[in-house]
Amino acid sequence: MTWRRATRLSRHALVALAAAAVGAVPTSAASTPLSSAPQPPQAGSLGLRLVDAPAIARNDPRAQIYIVDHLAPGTVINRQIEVSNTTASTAHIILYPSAASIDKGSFLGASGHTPNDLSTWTSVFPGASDVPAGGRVVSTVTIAVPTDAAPGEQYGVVWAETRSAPTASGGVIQVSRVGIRLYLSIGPGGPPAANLTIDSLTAKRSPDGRPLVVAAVHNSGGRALDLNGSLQLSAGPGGLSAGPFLATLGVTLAIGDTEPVIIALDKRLPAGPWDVQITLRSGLLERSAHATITFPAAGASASINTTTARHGWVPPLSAHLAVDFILVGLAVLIVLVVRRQSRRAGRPRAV
Amino acid sequence: MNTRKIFVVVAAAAGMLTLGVVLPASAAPGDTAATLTVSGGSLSITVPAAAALGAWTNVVGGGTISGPLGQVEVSDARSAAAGAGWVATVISTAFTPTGNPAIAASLVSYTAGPITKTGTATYTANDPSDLTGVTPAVTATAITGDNSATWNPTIHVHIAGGTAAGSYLATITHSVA
Repeated sequence: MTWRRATRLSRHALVALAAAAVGAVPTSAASTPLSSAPQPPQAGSLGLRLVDAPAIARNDPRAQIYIVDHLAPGTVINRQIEVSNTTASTAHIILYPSAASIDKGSFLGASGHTPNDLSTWTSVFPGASDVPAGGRVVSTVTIAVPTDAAPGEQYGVVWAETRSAPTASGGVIQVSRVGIRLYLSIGPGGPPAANLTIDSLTAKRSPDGRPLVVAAVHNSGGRALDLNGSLQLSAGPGGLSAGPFLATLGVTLAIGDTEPVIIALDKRLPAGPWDVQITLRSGLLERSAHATITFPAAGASASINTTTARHGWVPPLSAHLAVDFILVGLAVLIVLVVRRQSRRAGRPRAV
Repeated sequence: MNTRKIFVVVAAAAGMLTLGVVLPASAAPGDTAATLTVSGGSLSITVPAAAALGAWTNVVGGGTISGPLGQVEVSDARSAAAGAGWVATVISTAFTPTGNPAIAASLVSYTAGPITKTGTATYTANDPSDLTGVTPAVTATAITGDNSATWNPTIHVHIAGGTAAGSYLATITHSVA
């Protein structure tokens, strides 16, 4: 409608925002970009996967899909990545590292070749490949942490990139990138401990009538977290139980950040009250919390502070410190006793 | 003393055996970490084609030209329990003609349209109204197992009245990680 009116008001200047360079299309399946009708899924894609993970992290599911590591300054690591091309023709693919950041619960790779410290320490060899139709090529990612690297966690992405052929006369050149995330912690000794707290639970009702549980999750540790988990409802009306319901993934929590994690439930669930047990995981870290909530008819009800389900009781800080002091004291005692005994044992030999 | 040393060596050897450790052949000097082979699948994205938006005739007060970019499919065959789902982002350069002022990427907006899915996951379209910076386009959450999402994005370019005639070219990048 507006288009027609606009055309009637036309002036002479013609802005040709195009000139379909369809002849330059790399795959036949993708050669109908002008049609907006639903198309069947196509095989013509660029894939990327991590081939190896550190042996020390073999139980950590995150380390199997991302490059997650803690390195001392001066360390060099190598990881292998595999690029696959499922199109019907050879694809020219370039591989390179670039910066990334965590913003409002999302892990975002920066545009193009934007550098940060981590990306400048990272190299990919070979950095470009002509991957044949249906073929795979393995490249090596090397991260060389300089000896003067500052401690802290840094983020990046190793990208595999391909682009449509250049068009002669306007339009849109399209670039596709698929990446493997890098979460690299720098510092001497062991990695900073990961931790999270589930501060509160809020019962809400979505505009389409679904009950929602919103957990305020705080990253209180020293590493970024990729959250997933589950929710269990029990002691509901008439003794009902429901779940476990999968918690929303897709939340990457930066160090020190608090973000909402939303779990959508079934519309037919009674309003409650329910005993809610939520369990969140990131890699090997797992934390649970517990609260009693009632779903409102609309909007949101007040946030309920949680109790830690695993311990039932959260000791105050002073109690923690007292226990720590006792443990340290015991450890020192044991060391002293062992030393004295080994000195006694060693004396006759030395004489 | 000697017995203690021997014990350490034996323990280390036993550790290597039980872990099935593979040291990379290309290990650089200083590379201390042993690695294991990962058997997960790939994260993948459609290899794109060039797109055309058609021609636009200038109007007083300007207007908007819209056109499809072609199908984008993201498929995730990795171990989904491990990660945080995926985020597909989009960014555009300015539409640049030869010798005339460009149309800034802030005048380019993006709508994902209906998202076709396979597998169990929730996809959220962000429909950014400005493609100057990297912006989430589609986000996958609540994933169980392998999943894929297909959408047919449309971009909308606002063209001010009096824009010079010519062929305008932009680069639009979809990224997924």
